[in-house]
Amino acid sequence: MSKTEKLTLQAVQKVSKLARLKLTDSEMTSIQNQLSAVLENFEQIAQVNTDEVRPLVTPTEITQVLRPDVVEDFDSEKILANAPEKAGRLFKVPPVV
Amino acid sequence: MEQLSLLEIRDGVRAKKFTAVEVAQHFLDRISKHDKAINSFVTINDRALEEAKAFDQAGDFSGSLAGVPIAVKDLLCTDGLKTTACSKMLANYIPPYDASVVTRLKKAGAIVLGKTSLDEFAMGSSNENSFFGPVKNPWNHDFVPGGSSGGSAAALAARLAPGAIGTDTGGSIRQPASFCGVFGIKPTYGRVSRYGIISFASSLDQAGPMARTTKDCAIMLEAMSGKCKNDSTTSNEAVPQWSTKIRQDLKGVRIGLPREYFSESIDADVTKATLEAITALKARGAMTVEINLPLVKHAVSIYYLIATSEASSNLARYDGVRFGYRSEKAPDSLDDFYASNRGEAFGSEVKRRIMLGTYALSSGYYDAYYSKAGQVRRLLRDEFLEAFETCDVILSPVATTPAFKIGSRISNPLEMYLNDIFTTSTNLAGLPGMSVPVRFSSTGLPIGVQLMATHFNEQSIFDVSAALEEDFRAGEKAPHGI
Repeated sequence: MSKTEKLTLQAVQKVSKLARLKLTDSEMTSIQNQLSAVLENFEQIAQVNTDEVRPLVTPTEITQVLRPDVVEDFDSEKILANAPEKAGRLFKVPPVV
Repeated sequence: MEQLSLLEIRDGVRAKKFTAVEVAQHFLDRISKHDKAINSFVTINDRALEEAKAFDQAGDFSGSLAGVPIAVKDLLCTDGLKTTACSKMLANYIPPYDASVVTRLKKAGAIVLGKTSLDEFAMGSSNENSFFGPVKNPWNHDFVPGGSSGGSAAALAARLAPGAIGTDTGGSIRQPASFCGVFGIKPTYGRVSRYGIISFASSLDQAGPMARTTKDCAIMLEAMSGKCKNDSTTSNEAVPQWSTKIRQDLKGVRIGLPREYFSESIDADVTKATLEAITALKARGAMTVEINLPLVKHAVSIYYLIATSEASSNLARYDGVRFGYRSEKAPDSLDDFYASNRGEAFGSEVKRRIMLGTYALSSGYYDAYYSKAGQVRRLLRDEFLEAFETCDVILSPVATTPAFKIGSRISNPLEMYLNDIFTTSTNLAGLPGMSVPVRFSSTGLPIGVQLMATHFNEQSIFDVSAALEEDFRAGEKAPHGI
């Protein structure tokens, strides 16, 4: 793994697009600096030898649990009550075209 | 009544010394009297008295938490009761269901008093990142209560509830417990269902009890634990009755002292607390074993990569379509709509973590960051498992310092993150870990020590905790004016 260079502003802008996160210019700059510091700190683990080591994604041994895909307990009124906007029994969003 | 333990309150309700309504009323009164200064609750359950009355009338006091009022971190969904994660994003969200943990506690007879503050989406170590304002440490209002379960810890210390629920992703139960002088345990990963708990980092998150005695924690954890059909990561492992098996004679118990945990720059009072705890345990017949955990020095780095990666994925659901905050601004495009809703509603720490996680998972960086972190995570877990072949419980500080001043670290995230050095490894390895109050700093702030054990061995932790509780009685003292 190569040494991380300081993140460019363009890279930060690209990530904010990927994350669907609108950031102000000052947020961009402060995140650019802070992320660079965190990633630089992460560089320390590059020296750990991990050849042939499987990544650990969940800390205890678990097996896949399957169940029939049936609807239980479902109150659509309660769920719709949290919608910012709705039309009848549908979620409504503003027109975007 | 507020000085009674949770267990004493339950026994009092069972013996009809007082009713569940009287108990709930007492604590609600205390909240309205004392919480303005502390800000630990964000929502009071306005049906608490009604629920207590229904409980009294039903007359079944057999539940292990019969009539006990509890505070619940505002990260756990409560049916019909606002659940905000202390974010502008969910400021008006009313869940249509209870988290499994809440269902189980209610089934055991607990009455939910209200919802306690946290760092937004549990991201933080100081409770300064709450949309509803910082929580004050009841021991000194200029200091943070810790985080992210800062509201639960502060409410307990201020005797506003005899028991509380927290969640812990990298230390969020243990660090505030230490800062506020209460007990708190993060159980083994898989002990407690995550269903209905607003997800931060799914492979690290666990809910756990916080209380003012070891036994109270054990009793609450018994009620919370066990397989849940709605969370496939819950374990089939039997749930022992820890509270009835606590032994305080520690003859032959091996206490592991990780060399690495004592070499960091640690506050003198914290070192003193840790050494005094070791001396006390030795006096009870425990023996100490020096252990090596060389990878622990990387835990914070691995943790922030993994936690933020999982968070960036978990928080993708907040788009302002079906629930949550929606921008007033007319969007130019669908992406613009999502980006505005999210950009306006998330606080700066949440944004920072989503950005880090998105970067770590993005094309070209995944192997270097997320995969690499996962590989070192496995090696770290194996190191702990090896250490537990030579010891029963590992003892360490909880945090490098006692509570710090509000505002003193918020501008430097890296410094704030390094504060989590002793707690994050337990989550990465899935191990149980507990904070036990031991003494006070020279400035009167509480300090706890951390106890860790191997997977599903919460019993050894409770045994050692009960011994420290009896020797130091540090959880009995109440803050001034409370």
